[in-house]
Parts: sequence; C-alpha cells; structure tokens
Amino acid sequence: MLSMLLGFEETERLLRKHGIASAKSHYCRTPDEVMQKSALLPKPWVLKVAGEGVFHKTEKKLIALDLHEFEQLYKAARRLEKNALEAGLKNKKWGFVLQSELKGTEFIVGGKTDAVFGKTVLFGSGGVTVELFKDVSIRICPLARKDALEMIAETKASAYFTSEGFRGRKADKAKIVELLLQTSRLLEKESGVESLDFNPVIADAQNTRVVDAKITVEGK
Amino acid sequence: MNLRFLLEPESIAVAGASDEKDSVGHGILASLLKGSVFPSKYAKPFSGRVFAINPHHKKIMGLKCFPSVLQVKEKIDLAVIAVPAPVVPKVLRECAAKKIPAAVVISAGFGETGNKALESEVKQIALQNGIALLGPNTIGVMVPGAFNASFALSVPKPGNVAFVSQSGALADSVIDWALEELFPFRAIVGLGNEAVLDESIFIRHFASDAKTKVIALYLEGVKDGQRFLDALRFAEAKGKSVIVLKGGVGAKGSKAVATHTASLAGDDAVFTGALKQGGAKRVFSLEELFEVSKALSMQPRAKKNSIAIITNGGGAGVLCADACEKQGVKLAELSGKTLAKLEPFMHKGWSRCNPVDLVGDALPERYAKALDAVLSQESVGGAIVIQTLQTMTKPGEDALVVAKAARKFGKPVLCAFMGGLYTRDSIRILHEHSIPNYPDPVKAAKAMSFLI
Repeated sequence: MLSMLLGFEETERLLRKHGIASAKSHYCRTPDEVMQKSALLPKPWVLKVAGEGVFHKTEKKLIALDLHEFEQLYKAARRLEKNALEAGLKNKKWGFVLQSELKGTEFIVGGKTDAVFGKTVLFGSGGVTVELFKDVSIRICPLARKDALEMIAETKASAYFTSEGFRGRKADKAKIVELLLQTSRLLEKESGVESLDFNPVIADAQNTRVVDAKITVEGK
Repeated sequence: MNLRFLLEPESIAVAGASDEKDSVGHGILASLLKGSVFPSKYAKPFSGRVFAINPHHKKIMGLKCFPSVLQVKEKIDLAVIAVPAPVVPKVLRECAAKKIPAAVVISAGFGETGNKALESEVKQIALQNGIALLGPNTIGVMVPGAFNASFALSVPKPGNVAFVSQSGALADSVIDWALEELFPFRAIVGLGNEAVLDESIFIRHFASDAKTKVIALYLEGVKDGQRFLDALRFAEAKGKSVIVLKGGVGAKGSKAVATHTASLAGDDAVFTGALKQGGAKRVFSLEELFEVSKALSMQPRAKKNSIAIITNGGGAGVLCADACEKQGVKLAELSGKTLAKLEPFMHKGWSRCNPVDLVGDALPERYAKALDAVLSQESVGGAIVIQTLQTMTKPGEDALVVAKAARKFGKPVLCAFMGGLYTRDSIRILHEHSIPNYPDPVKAAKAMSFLI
C-alpha cells in the first residue's frame, strides 16, 4: 500500500476542520501570481513549493526564506520553479505557497499509525534538525490533557514553556497542549490519515501556528 | 477469562507424565509432587490432588496412571500437557470433555516452528470450551509456596513480585539467581506462544491480586497495543508497579518514510511512549529489572523525593550522590536539629551535610545513631546506606542496625554494602530483613529513583 501526500487545499481544509491554527498562506500557480498575492501579506516572506510528491524541501532547495523585497521574491519564485522542475515535479501538480515569515521557536507536532498501538502523536523540538537531535516524545491516541503535558515535560523543548523561558524566548504551553489534543482528534476522526508532520510549528508567548503541514493518507 | 484455576488450582493432571528421568513429563510431575527437581527450601509439594496421565503406563512415581483425563472420576482444575505436539489437540479435547477449566501446554512444535495450523486448532478448542490456556511452548507456571507446574529447575522464595515472561529460559535462569539472592516471587509465568492467554490478561490478573506488589515483564512483542495499554492503566489504578524489559528493540530495516514523524516514531519509541502513558517503568537489562523490582518489592515508596546518604566511605558517598543527581533523586537538606543530633558522635570537622560521612572507623553504634538522627527528620524521605569494609567494620551488626531503623521509620532504605567474600553474610542478613542490597552505590541510587 502506497501512501499519498495530500495537496495544499486538502491539507488546509483538514486543519480548518479541526480548528488548527496555521500560518496564513496563499497558494499560487505562477511567479506572477506570487507577486500579486504578496501585496496581501506583510514582509518578510517565505516562499515554498508545495504539491504532490514534494518532500525534503530543504535538501531540494524548494524553499526560500527571509525575502524582503519584491525583486528578491520574484527571483526566488523563478529559482524555485527551476529547482522544482529539476527535482522532477510534473507541471500543474505543484505550486507555490507564500507566507509571511513568523518569528518564534520551532516545534514539531506529528502523528503516525503504528502497527501495534494504532494512531500516535509526537511532540518535540522542530525545524530542520528534528532527526538529528530527536528531542521528541510520543503517546498513543486518544491523548488526554495529562498526556500532552507529560509529553512536553519529557522534552528539552520544555524549557521554552517555563515562566522564565529560554534565552529570552517563550512559548504558550496551553496552546501547544491544545494543538496536541486537536492533532489527536484529527488522527482519530480522519481514519485514512496515515502520518502527518506539522513542522515547524512556530510559537511565541502569544501565538502558536502550524507553518508547514504534511499529511499522508493511505493510497489505493 | 478467569485465571483462578490456572493460578490457584486445587487439583492438577499431568498429561504426558513420564518415568524417564530426563523427560519434561517427568520433571513436571516431580515438581508437583516434591515441589522442585533441584532442592530448595521453598519448594513445597502441591497440596491438592495430582493425577498422572499416560496411556502407556500403569504407575508413575508411585502414582496410579490414567490412560486419559476422562478416566479420572474426581474434578480436575488444571491440566498440564506435555505430550508430542500432534497429540495435543486430542488431549485438549478430552480436557474439554472433562470440563477442565485451565490448561498449560508445555509441548513445543507449534507456531514457533511454523506449524501455525496446529496452533490455531489448539486455540479454537480452548476458546470454544472456555479453557484458560497458557502456551503452547511454555516452561509453565509456578506459584512459590503453592505449586510448581513447570520444568524450571527449582522454586524461589514466595513473595510479591509476579514475573511474566515471553521467554521461558529467561525465567528459568532467574530462579537460580533468585535463590541465591533470596529474591521473592508471587508467581513466575512463561507465556510461550500466547495462543490464548497473553501478557495483558496476566497484567490485569496480578493487578487485582492482593498478594502482588510488582509486576515484572519480559516482552519481545505485543500483539494488541491498545489492550496492553489498557491493562497497564488498570495496574496503575490498582497501585501496582509495572516494570518492563523489552527484547528486540533494534530497528528493523528502516524503510523510506514520507514524514519525519514516521521515521522518529519507530516501534521502540512508540513502545516507550505507551509505557509512560500506562504508568509503567522501562528497564534495559535483566539485572536492572530485578534490581528495581527488588526495591519496589521489599521497600515502601518514599513520601518525599528527599534522600539521605549515610556512608563510611567518602568516595562511595560522592559516587552515590552523583548518581542520585543523574537519576533525579534529590538529596535531603539536613536540618539544624538533625545536625545537632549528629554532632556528638561525628568526627571533628565533618562536612555537616548530606552525604553523611561516618568515616572508615564507624562502628554499628555510629550507623545506628546516624540513621536515627537522619530518618527522624520529617522531610527526609528515605536513605541509602553505604558500607565499605575496613578492619574495624562489623558488617553483620551494621546490617541488623539498618534493618531495625528501616522498620522503625517505615521509610525506604536501600543498602550498598560493597564487597564480596567478607560482605556476603551481611548481605544475606539484609535480604532476610527485606532490605535490598546493591553491590554498587550507583545501582542503589538507580533503584531509589523508582521509589520516589
């Protein structure tokens, strides 16, 4: 059985359905459309390629960060387009996602179907180094609030949720707990969902938002 | 499914009972009649009726031998089956006809050798007739002090640790060690192929058992994760400690996965999460499984994470303090009142803090006074007592002093009487008084982390 990566719209729909807060994103087909939509979002921007078969965005240079000027943005769009084609992405099955760059600390919230225990939820330090530091904690669905709190406490990332934070950075524990519980519900209700990555989830003392969501479903 | 007839039988039949000394059928019959094959002071003959079943014999070990269970007039609670695998279904059907409610199938040659059809036949017979079936391919089951329906060599001291193992040989080797260590068991169960009864049902059973305090598990795999998690939660709610040693944790050929989560949440990581969710504790070696079980079994839990170290050797105390910090065991701050009590008999210029270093010339009296001073401080949750051997040390008396203090205060006390030949007798005294001893203060600290 193959797993299929959900497209941008379907992913957004699932997040909305389960009340999961995500970064405001615009899906664009062409570099010109990217330029039009950029007026709707404050700078700096982040531009990434999204669509069927888009994995490992960092390695394949399918993401551009810290874009402050229109010219920079346009060049990035053209570069990403070229890289996408080089990475073998077929026409029409992919597009650009434009977001404002968010400040805060990166976490990962994930889900996976385990052969023995069924649906599981994961929490940990996020970003591009998740697999390097493996600072993660896992629980079986359905998640209780107590489970979510223990998951946070088990990771080194928990330092950000203390009253003093870590090196001036803080994140809102209640919001991450809520996100973990929402993720547990999503996994349980959407039986076809096989695994998911919300990575990064960017959080500060006020907001906690899923910036990049990848959801795979069981293929036919 | 009720395990009463499996674990508290009043009468037992051995199908495949044999005269041949080296056969399994002989070992099991001997274990039931004598308590164990290798002598043990804890081995007791089964107090109920034992029936030998073998169509080829008239008499075995002085017992009348029946051709099948059907010829036995009396009620039989448990059938222990040690006949060749192909004959097991026939024998089990006879057990069903005789309305025997529980069976242990010792025989091998089922799923583990690829004979899945035979195993599923056995499973069907058991399920259709409501037989609580342990095995097949198991070493059997023993309840020290009650009965030994296994071919394990001997029987350990009766106690409150239920050991449930997916490996029979592991259980067997543990017994010999337990005899030496005076380690007490409530029951030892070899799960075998788990055709019917699995780890979860035993966890639930021992969780409800008033005589069980600790459930120690050796597992290689769990078939139904949610069921297992529910059983762990049940045990947690019943206030039992569940300690798990998991074999087969190596990553199996990692396949390419689409998400980071799928790669991070490997089988072992998920298993670890499930144990935490179920309130069970994980250990990583057999030694650790029993070191931890020993502490949980013999000592109460600490009411406060605030532990005192009392030692007659500075270095050993430092090692122990370091290990405590690493394991999350907090060192108690000694009050002014406690320090005042210690002052009169301590050496001049002692550190006036925890660890309390009694210095090498400490005699039993100094240990006794120090234990009394420290444990009577309300905020001290428990103690680790270290003894290094010097010319003036009196290990046997020290052991008695520790035992007395532990009894008096009802707080957990663990020992690290370090040594070998000349320490052995004192360790035995400690164990006889239910004070766990560890050969290394680092191990005592680790064990203490399970009591806080």
